[in-house]
Amino acid sequence: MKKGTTVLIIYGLLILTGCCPVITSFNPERGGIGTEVTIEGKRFENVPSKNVVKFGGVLVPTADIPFASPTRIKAKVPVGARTGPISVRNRFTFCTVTSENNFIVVKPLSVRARHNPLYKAESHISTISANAEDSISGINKVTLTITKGKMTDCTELGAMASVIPCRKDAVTFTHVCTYPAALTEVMCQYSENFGDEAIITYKAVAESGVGVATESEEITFAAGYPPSGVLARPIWWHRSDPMGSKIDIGFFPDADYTGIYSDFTPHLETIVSGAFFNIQPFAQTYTENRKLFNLWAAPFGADAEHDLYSISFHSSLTPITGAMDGNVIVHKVQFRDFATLSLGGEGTVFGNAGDAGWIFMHESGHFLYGQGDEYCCDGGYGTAWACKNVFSSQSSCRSYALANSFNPDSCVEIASGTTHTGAWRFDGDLDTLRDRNVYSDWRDGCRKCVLEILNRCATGSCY
Amino acid sequence: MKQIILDRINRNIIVITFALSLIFVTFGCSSEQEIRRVEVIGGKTSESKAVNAQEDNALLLKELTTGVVVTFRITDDEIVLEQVTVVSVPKVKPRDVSPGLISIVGMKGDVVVVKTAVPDKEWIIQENKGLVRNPVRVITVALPIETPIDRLIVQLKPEFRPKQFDMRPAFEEFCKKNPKSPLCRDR
Repeated sequence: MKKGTTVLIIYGLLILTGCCPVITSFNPERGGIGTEVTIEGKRFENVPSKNVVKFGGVLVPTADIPFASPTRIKAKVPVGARTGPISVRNRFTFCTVTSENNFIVVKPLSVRARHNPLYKAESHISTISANAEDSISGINKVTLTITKGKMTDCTELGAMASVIPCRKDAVTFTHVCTYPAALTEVMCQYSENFGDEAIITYKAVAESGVGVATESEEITFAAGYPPSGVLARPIWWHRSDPMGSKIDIGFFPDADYTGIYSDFTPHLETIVSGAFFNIQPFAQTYTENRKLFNLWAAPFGADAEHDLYSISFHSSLTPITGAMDGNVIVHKVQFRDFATLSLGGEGTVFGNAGDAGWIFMHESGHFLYGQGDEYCCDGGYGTAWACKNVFSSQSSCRSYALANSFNPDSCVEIASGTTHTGAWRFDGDLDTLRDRNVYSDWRDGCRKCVLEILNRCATGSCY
Repeated sequence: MKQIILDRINRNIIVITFALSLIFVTFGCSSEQEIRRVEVIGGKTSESKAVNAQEDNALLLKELTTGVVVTFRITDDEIVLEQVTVVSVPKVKPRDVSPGLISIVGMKGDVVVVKTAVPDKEWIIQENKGLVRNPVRVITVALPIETPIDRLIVQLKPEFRPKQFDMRPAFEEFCKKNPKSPLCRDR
C-alpha cells in the first residue's frame, strides 16, 4: 500500500508540474491600474477565459485579458491591484505559477472612504475608514470631516414632510491622521457609537508628500436605533448631489422576516457589500460606479408572492417606493427570485444566500436595465427596450450585433442538448445574466445597455 | 471476506492520499504572496462645532419640492386609483413617454402641471421559468408639483383610451389638515 501511494503521489506531481504554466518575463515591469501587461511564458491556455491571471493576488476579469496564446498573455492591471507577483493559473489543471519578480503598481494620489457596518438599526459602533495611496510622493496627512446629527422628516425646518431625511442637532468635527514619513499607502480610521436616530456625513481629504490634495466622495449614512416615523434610511447616500443623477435603490424586508429587523440587516449587509464593495469580477461594475448609486433601507414591510409574481408594499411606504428607481425585496425563505423586466422597477433577492450580492446583480439586470436572462431553458425570453441582450431569431441577433459593432458570428441560440429555445444571444462567456459565479460580469450586449443607463446619470437623469 | 474489506480500506486510503496530495500540490503552488503595507493611525479628533440646521439641510431642501405620490392598480387594461399621498418628493427630471412606459399627466383646469412616464411592470422574469405576463400590478409614481392638480390622466399604451382621475378630494383633505402648506395657500 505504501509503495502504491508513493507511486501515485509522484505520478500526480509529475502530471501537475508537467501541465503547469511557466512565466519567463513580463513587460512593462511597472504601471498603473488598467496598464496592459504582456506576460511571456509557456503552457498558457490560448483562450483568455481559461487562464486565471492575478496581480498581487487581485484577479483580472476575463474581459481585461484581450489576448492569450500558449506563450503569451496580455492582461490589464485590475482595480485594487497591489505591488506583488503576477500569477497565472490554468483553470482546468488548477496549476498556478507566480512570477519571480514583483509587478510594481504605480498609484497616483487617491483617497476613498467608507463606513462599517454599512447599516445596522441598533446601538453600535461605526467605523469610518479612509484609505489613501500615492506611490510617487507618499501620503502626508488624511483629514476626515464628519458631521453627525439626528434624522428628522424635515417638518421641524419648516418644510413639508419628507421621507428623504433632513438632519437636526448637527455638530461637525475633524479627525486628522499625519504621516511624517509620507507613506505610500495609509488608512485613517475614526470609530464612535453615534447614538440613536443618527445620520452621519463624512468626507476624506488626503495630502501628498508634495502638498497636493485630493478628496473622496461625500457619503451620508444612518446609524443606531432609527426614529419611529416613515423615513428612508440612508445606507450610502450622496446627500449633496441631485437625486436625478443617481440610481436610488430601496431595500425592503419581506414579510418572511416576521418583523425581526435584526435578521434583515445582516442580509442587507451581505447584498450591499457583495455588490458595491467587492473587487471580484461580477461586482466590479457597481463597485467602480458606486458614486452613481444611492442605497436606502426601508423601515419595514413589503411582501413578495412568487407564485403570483406580486410585490406589495405597506401603504405608508409608497412615498419611499415612489422616490426610488429600484425597489428590492429581500427575503429570508428561499423561493425562485423574480424581477420586473423594466427600466426601473422591482425585484426580489434571497438574502440568506451566500452569493446574495450576485443574485442582486443578476436581478438588477432585469429591473434596472431591462435585460433578459441568457441561460437555458426558460419558458420565454425578452428585453424591455431597444438596447438588447437576447433576440427572437438568429437574423435579428446578427443584424443587431452588426449595427452595434459586435461580432455577428458570436450569435448563438440559447440551447442545451436537444432543448432549443428559439432565443439568441451574442454575449461572451461568464455573463451576469447567465453564469452564477464570481467570474461573471456584464458582457458585450448587456454591458452596453448597463453602461448606457449609467452614463445617462451624468446628464442629470439616469432614466 | 476480511481480506476483501481490508483491500477496500487500502484502496480508499490510496485514493484519499492521492486526492490530498493533489490538493496540497495545487494550493501549495498557488499560494500568492500579498505585499501590503498599510499604516493605520488613530489620529487626532477636533472639538465639535454646532451646525446651523438650515445651512446643513440647504442643498437637500433645494432638491425636494412639494409633490404627490399616486398609486394605482392595473388589472389587464383597467386602472384603479388606490392611494394619493401629498408629501415632499425629489425634484427629478420627468421621463419622456416611450414604448413600455405609462404616460401620466397632472392637470389644473386646462393647464398641464406635470407630465411624466413610468415603467409598466407588465412583464416579469422569474428565474428558471422565464418571461411571465403579470396582469395585475401596482404602480407608484412621485409627481413634483408646485400647485395642486385637479385631474390625473393615465394612459397605459398609446392605443388605449386614457383614464382620468379626480384629484380634488385628496388635496381638499390634505389642506384641511395642512392649511399652511404651500400647496394650500392659493386655493
